[in-house]
Amino acid sequence: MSSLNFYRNYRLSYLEDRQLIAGIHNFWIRIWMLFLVAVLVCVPFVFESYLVYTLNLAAISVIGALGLNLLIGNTGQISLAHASFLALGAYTTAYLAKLDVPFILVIPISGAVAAAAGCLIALPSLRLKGLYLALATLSFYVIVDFLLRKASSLTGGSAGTHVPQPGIFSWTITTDRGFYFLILTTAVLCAIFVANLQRTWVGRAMMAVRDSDIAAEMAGISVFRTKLIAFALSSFLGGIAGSLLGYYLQFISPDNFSLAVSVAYIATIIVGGLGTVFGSIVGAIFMTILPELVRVGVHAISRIYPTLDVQTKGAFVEGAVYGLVIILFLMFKPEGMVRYWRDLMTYFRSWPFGH
Amino acid sequence: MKNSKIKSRLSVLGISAAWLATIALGFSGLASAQDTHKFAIANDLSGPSAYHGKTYSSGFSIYLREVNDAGGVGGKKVELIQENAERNVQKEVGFLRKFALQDKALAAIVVTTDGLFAAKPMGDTLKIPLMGIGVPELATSPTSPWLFNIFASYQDTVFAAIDHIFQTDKDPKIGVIYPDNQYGLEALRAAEIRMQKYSKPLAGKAVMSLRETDATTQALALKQAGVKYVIVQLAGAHIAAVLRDADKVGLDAMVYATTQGMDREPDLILGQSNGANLAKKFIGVGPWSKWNESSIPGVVSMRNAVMKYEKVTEAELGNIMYSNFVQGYVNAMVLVEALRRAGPNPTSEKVRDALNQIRDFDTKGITQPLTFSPDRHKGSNAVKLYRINVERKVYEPIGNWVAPN
Amino acid sequence: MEFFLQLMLTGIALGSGYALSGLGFVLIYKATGVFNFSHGHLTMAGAYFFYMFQVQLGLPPWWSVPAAVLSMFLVGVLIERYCLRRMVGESVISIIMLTIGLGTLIRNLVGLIWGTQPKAPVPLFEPGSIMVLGAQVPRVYIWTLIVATILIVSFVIYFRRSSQGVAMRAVAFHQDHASLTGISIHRIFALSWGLAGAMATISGILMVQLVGLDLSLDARGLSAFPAAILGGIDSIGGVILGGLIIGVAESMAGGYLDPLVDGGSKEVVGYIVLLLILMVRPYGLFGTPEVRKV
Repeated sequence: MSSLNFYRNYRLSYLEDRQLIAGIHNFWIRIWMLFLVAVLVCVPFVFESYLVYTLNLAAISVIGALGLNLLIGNTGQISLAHASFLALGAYTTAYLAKLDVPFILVIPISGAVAAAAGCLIALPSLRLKGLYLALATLSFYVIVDFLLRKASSLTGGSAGTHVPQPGIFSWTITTDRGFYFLILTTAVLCAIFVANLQRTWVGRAMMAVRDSDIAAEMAGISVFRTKLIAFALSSFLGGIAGSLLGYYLQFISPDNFSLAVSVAYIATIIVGGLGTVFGSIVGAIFMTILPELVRVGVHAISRIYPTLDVQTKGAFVEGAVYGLVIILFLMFKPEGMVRYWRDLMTYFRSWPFGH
Repeated sequence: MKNSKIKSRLSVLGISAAWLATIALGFSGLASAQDTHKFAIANDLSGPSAYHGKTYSSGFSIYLREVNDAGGVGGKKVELIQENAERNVQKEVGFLRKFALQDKALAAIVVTTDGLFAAKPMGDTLKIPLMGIGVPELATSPTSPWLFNIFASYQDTVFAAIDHIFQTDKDPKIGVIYPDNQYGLEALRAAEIRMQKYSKPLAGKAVMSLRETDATTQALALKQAGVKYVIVQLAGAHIAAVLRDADKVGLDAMVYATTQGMDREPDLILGQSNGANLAKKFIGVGPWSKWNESSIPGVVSMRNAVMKYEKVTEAELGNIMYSNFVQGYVNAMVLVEALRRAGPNPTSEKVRDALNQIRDFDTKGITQPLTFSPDRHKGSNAVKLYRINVERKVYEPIGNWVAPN
Repeated sequence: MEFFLQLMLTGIALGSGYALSGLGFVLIYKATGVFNFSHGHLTMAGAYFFYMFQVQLGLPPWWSVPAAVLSMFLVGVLIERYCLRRMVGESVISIIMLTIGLGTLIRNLVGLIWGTQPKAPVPLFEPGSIMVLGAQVPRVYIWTLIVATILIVSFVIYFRRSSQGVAMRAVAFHQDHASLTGISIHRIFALSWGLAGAMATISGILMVQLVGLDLSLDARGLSAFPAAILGGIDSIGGVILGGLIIGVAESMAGGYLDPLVDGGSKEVVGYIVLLLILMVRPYGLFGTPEVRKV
């Protein structure tokens, strides 16, 4: 009996129930967590710089996707303005970093600024639903884009602005490796936060609003407050992602935060799986790696068939593959990659009874 | 049920196999090209500046072929690596990192002025000499250790244009049409600086983005301001649009195109209705000679190289050698010279140091002699002005080289 | 004053183009309940088809226009048949994302086939301007206004009077009841997508006369969204009015605001107007409010 306690996957006390990482009392889960941490820590020492760079971008994308998933997946509010929150976070970072504020403060403050803007957008969301909300967020994006381009003294306008490297007192992060740890830590913290948020009353209120907001209101949930929290949190995470992006790329311009970026994030969470942390992570990694793979493929083909002039078409091939992936996932696997994972788990759990 | 399960499993297998095959091919491809000197370009092969990007790399590659056929440099061939960044500054910077860190390129080229601006502070992290298809003044003043301009900058072309205007008109009303980015702002700044020198104000300015193909509102705005000369810091299609729409709204002005404005043969302008009249209002300013200037020995040897490698006749040269072809060719000339001077086992730092020692490099007339030094990273500030020859449908030089100071 | 008139007339002509484009959205929405984010891309594809028929295949313009329209009609039907059928019953966000994905795919296929360089189809109308009410207005704008008006009027008549039009309105009103009366829902869906494709094409061809043909056309098609929403996504009169409002607003902004803010205000103004109207009337000027049951 007592030896089984170590390997069980059910919980025996409220303390265990409250753990941040579900099931941490389980031996296998602990081993898996240690393994994961070890792998993640070793990655930047084993792989060469460009791959680490790609992974860093993927990790930033994870943070952004987590935010958007909270809004669209959990609360059911459609937003095309996610790129604007990234932009606000990035520009705040540019401004503060130039004043030599340590990054430990800059990152949360950038998130907060984006969250404030998110609250602004929550106001139209009260009266507008679905499609109209999407258009309202589109308007918000266009207006923010315009403002960023015109406020040249603050933002450098369309030309963009440099972002100093993240520093705290005399120590700055300059290498890909250093950034990797900064971004990874932030991503892990955000993932744990979002995963646990879904277990609290906030998370449940959001899902209630998504499923039926009128019924939720009648059941006593303040739909306004829930939407406000959803927008604020989503923008906060978006702002953090933007802040890290600004620090990492060292140069930002309004073109970095175009509508295509918003659409890319939506595609990411749909491909990954709406409303799940796992979906955000997997989707972000998939969508970051996909263009790279297409690029490698295009290079390979252009070496083998130099006359086809594939390189020129490469960008369009990338875009077409991108659109095709979205369409195919929505048509055939609307629940995203999470579904693949769940099917796989179910298969193994119910083996040998299958199907 | 079973049928679709099998189908979906097969499709998953198929897709994974395709991915793995692609990766395998990609890496095998990358591995095989190890033993060459590499220059790299984060090009625009399919975006708004594709004309510039493709012709540039075409010119660059032709010169490299000449060099490789003669034995390469230090026994190794020279190669140009291309990535398609489509004018996206974030991608350009990302590719620069890849070029510096993964490909170990000896020099890198980007397309956009904004990309150069973005990369400026990263010079010491990347440690790779950088130049652009864009030739902004801000790349080299103030001088930054890693950025180079082979040719005269946009500022020089604007200065030369305004000087030319003042030769015939003592109180000209000059307007500038520019896009809202670093590239465009440079032209605006240059125009304001030069007008200050003559103590006259700039009469008007209008913003036109690279994506716009209609210049009606801009032409209207400049017409309101009474402008008689327009400097347009944009590409060939925009020049054609400005000429067309100025005519449409009744704006009677000479249109001065800067470097990138001659990115196509005058066909675009001449092909429009009333094209011949529109062409008379055009003056182009650029820092390198055109393919049809066959009195220049450097141009002749370029033409011969193209005829030999691309197997085309003289009449077809215009289809290949237009726009930034010449720029790419000369850029390759300079970089290979620096490579030769960098000695055996060149690194990107040695190439940079070698560049700093080039004095009066002779391009056989395609440009004025190019000189670099640790304090001077711009090869030359000489430009030429061009008109359109309507019968031969080419750009013809007016006068000789001008070096505005 | 001449300046103002010029802007006003340009704006009305531009707005009629937007209205025509917006009608395509409204058609799909009314009949199938789907908001087609790829309408702008269909507009662009239609314009490129026109270019292909006119320049690459050398057909005279009065053949290439119907050819392009018919091709895009077919494309619309195919999209409905193979992509949208599967999405029946899915959430709004999934369908919107599907149309966005479609749009991306179409855009990149167009780029793949025709490349990025601006194309030069033969203009359909003579260039130059004529004097209207004391302002010099380019002929193309006048022609755009005329063609768009004729098409809009014919569309409205078709929708109100013809049997298919009535059938479409029936399906839009209540799908189940409509199918009970013997209307084939699938055929109506196919017809509405096809018609939307056709209208997008015409609107694209008109736009090409105004601004030229290149890959940025899909972004211009995006300007028709505010027009459609502004008027109310299910009101035809609303779309027309919305289109005109947005067109005039953009033109005025281009003329008066742009010099003040150094350009770029044209695109924003449409969306600002949209946002303001949505705050006051969440379903657009003439849209019917949705009644939802719990």
